[in-house]
Amino acid sequence: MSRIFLGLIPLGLVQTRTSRRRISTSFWALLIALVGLIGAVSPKSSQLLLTNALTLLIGVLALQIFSGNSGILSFGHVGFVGVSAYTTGILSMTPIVKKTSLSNLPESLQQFSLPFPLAMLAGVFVATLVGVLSGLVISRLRDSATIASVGILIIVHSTLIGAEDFTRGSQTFFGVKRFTTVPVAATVAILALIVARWFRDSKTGIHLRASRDDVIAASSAGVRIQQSQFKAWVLSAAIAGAMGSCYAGLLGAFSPKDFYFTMTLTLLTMLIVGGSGSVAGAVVGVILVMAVIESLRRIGDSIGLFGLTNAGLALIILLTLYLRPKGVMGFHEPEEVAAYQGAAPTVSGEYKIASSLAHDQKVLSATKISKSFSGLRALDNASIYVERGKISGLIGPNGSGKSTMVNCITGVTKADNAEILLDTKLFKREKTWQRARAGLGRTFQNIRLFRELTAVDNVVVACISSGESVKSADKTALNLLNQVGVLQHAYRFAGELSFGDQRRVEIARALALRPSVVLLDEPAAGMNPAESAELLAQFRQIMRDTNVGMLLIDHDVTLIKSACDFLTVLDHGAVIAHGKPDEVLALPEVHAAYLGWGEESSTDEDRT
Amino acid sequence: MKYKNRPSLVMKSIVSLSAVMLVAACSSGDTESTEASGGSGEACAVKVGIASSQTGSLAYIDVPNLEGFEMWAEQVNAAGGVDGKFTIENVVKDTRSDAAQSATVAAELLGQEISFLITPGDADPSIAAGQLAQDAGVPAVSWFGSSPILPLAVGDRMFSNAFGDNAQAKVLADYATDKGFKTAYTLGSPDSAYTNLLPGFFKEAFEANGGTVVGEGQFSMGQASFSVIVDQIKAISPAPDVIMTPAYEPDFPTFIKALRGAGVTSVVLGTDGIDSPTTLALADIAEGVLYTTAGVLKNEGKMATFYTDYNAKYGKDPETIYAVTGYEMGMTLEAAIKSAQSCSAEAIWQAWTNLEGVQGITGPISYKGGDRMAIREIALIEIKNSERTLFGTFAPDPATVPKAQL
Repeated sequence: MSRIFLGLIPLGLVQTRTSRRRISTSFWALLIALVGLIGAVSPKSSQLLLTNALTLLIGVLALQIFSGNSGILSFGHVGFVGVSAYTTGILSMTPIVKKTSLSNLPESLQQFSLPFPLAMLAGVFVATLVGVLSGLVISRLRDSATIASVGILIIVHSTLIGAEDFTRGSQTFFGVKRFTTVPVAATVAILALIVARWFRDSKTGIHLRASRDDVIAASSAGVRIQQSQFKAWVLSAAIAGAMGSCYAGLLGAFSPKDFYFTMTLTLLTMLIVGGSGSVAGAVVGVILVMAVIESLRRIGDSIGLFGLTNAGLALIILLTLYLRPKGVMGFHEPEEVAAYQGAAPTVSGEYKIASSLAHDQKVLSATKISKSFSGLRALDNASIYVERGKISGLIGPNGSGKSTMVNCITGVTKADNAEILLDTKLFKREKTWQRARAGLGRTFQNIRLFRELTAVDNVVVACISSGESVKSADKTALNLLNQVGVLQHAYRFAGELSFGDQRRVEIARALALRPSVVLLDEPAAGMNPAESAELLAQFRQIMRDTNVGMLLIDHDVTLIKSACDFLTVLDHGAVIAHGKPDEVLALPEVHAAYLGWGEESSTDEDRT
Repeated sequence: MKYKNRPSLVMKSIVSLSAVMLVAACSSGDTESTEASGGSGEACAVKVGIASSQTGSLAYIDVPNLEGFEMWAEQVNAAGGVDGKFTIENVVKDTRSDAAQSATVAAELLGQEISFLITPGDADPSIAAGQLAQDAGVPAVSWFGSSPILPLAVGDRMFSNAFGDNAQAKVLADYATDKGFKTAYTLGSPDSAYTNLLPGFFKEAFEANGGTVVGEGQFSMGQASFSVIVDQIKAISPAPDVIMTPAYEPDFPTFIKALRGAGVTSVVLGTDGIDSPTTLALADIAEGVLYTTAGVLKNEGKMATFYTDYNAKYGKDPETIYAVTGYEMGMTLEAAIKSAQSCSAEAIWQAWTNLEGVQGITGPISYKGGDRMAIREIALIEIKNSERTLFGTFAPDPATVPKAQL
């Protein structure tokens, strides 16, 4: 699918993020406008059909904003559609109609009537409010967010039924002015499209997409996941509200059952078929599903085979899931794919982490760290130090507590007791993302990149965390990739890179936080001695350039010996030795600990 | 990259789908109307647009209705048309039980110069479709939407082939009063318009008859247990003479099991929602339950011919009374055309509003003097020995039926 777009898009137009956004927004907006124009002059039935399709598109775009960027499927958005439809209906209805259809409405509302566009805004406003309230819950959840969103749908549904004086309860609500013509729906759809495409490349959008690919890596790159999720949820609630207003003005009559699972499944089907990961996917999904429904319905009607539509819909979902699990358009906008495939990344200027601190200064002191897991003492009063421009090593047999140590320092695990000082900042209850933003970068033993983002965007995520605008982050990120030697792969998706290059991107991402300290968790795992040596040389170069301090966690005694300025040895959660590598490794207790290695490797969960 | 090589198949399907859609769009486009509109007595074809929920949650009402209606149209056309000259031309489109789709389909049908529109058997889609018919001046009749607000919400072109829920509540209330019952308990649910409004209509009619409603319970549809509600009923002293509820599957079986299990013996009155084999399968528990419905489906009397014809056309016995009501929709239309002596929408509408005593299979059907819901016989069924037994049929006077309020 992307391929046909690739030929159409002049490469020069998609070189920067902004130009990509503009060209894609213009393209889809023009398409929608064209549909609006055609619709304005077509017969009534086609008008209704197109208005319905455009109204659904608004809802699918709303879903895309939240589900597409966060990766969390939402069943709750139709609730916002319903809330806004009723609000718009109540406010736009003339007092005469209200007298008959909503006789129990409070007097003040009885006499009150707004022009439709204002009523629409009010509908969006109320949907946004409900979005804020529900967002407080949803943003705190991750795996269970989908289930919670079902709960939100059910609560809204019951509320609409219960608020009988306002909604006529389960009875049909009618008398809404049928204001939503094709041009009206097209206008709102274009606005929704602009918002959705803008959000995708906003700071929050990029952060949210990072969290979609890897939650732990995202928080370690300074992503404030809860907040990003909350913003996206509220924004998408507002857009879903816009759909509700249009739906109210399209049909003029509806009841709570219209805003329930059937509509939810329609919207989700469209998004999943098109591809939730991109705005283009949302548009294409609506076009495709509507085309299938309408063509099969007409064929079915003409030959009297009425189940054809449902069979066709089932088939298209199955085909999509089988052939293109990420949807027809995949996770990327076509113009992004065009740019990534054609562009040769170049850098201008040079990136330096400015450092005013002298060498040999303690930049991280993590002391008195204790942690127990249900009685098992994983760390017992352990301490390590890192100095600027130096590499500290942390070794220990399997199960000695190295991972727990890293997790306690980065805030992934809450230590029972710890005194962690980074530069001048004392960490107490800081979250992982706060520690990352304070200057604690890290890499992971099993590389954790945002696989669906490009190499450069992986780094951009962290640049944004350190306070850069998206535009300047784009530049900085290229410079960083250049520095670690993977500039040529900047526009490839991280998941496609070789192991070594992925490792380099991960290091660039850690450096993008402008860290004081980088924790390197078995960076040479899976590399041969030559590659390890090359990597080590690179670390030294980076350290000279940036003056960061490094904490290297590894098993490989040869690597540790040649790399580290200091060495700390952990055994059974306690520090058994600390000092120069040569001296430490010569100690008999260190030998003893390592000789026992084979027998102690059973504690797999604590393996570094 | 993966997506470089894959799209061909997907693209092919998109292209072919679009092509199919284009062809389909053309083929279903406005064909030259065969109708010679209007002139009184001149032979012409009445084009009937049918927006029917052939799939989805409303199919259980609409599909059998359409079967009955199509059977009627075939018979009329075989005889040369109504009065030998007004033939019937049906255009059927599936609304998929969706309100928005119903509006689109209705607009398509209205674009084909139809003189009569049939809408689904439920209020939401019927109102969505009916509004368009109202604007176009075409009479629209719901298959069997029984909410009395349905025609009121749309306007003077909208009708329903069903009796109103207010009318069936009146029949139940009159039965209770005739039996000498003085006190009643009603059990409704806010979850659907049907379960929400019927208890109120019953209360109004029963109290107008001099009875007293001593308790009004509410359940939520699909709730797992009715023990709290049954305890509330047991706490009423003296026990109510009669319990009225519009609950249906799965709530009705759950409720009545709990009720009888707790030893409450009051007579239970239900509505047409429980006219299903499930209720009979309750055996002893449902014994003595009475409910209102459109008619008793039995291969005897007036219905015998219908059974024979239906069997000949569809190779099976009719499964629900809705097949009969669909056929009656045709018989009513036949009467309207006969009276209008025209194929025009306006003339048929005029005639339809004045129909009186049209002889259907279940009894006479009228619209004159009503609120555009069919005034028709309502059968009161009593379950005896796990069989449906006709207690009697009633056509309550519209003047005495509780008024539907918007």
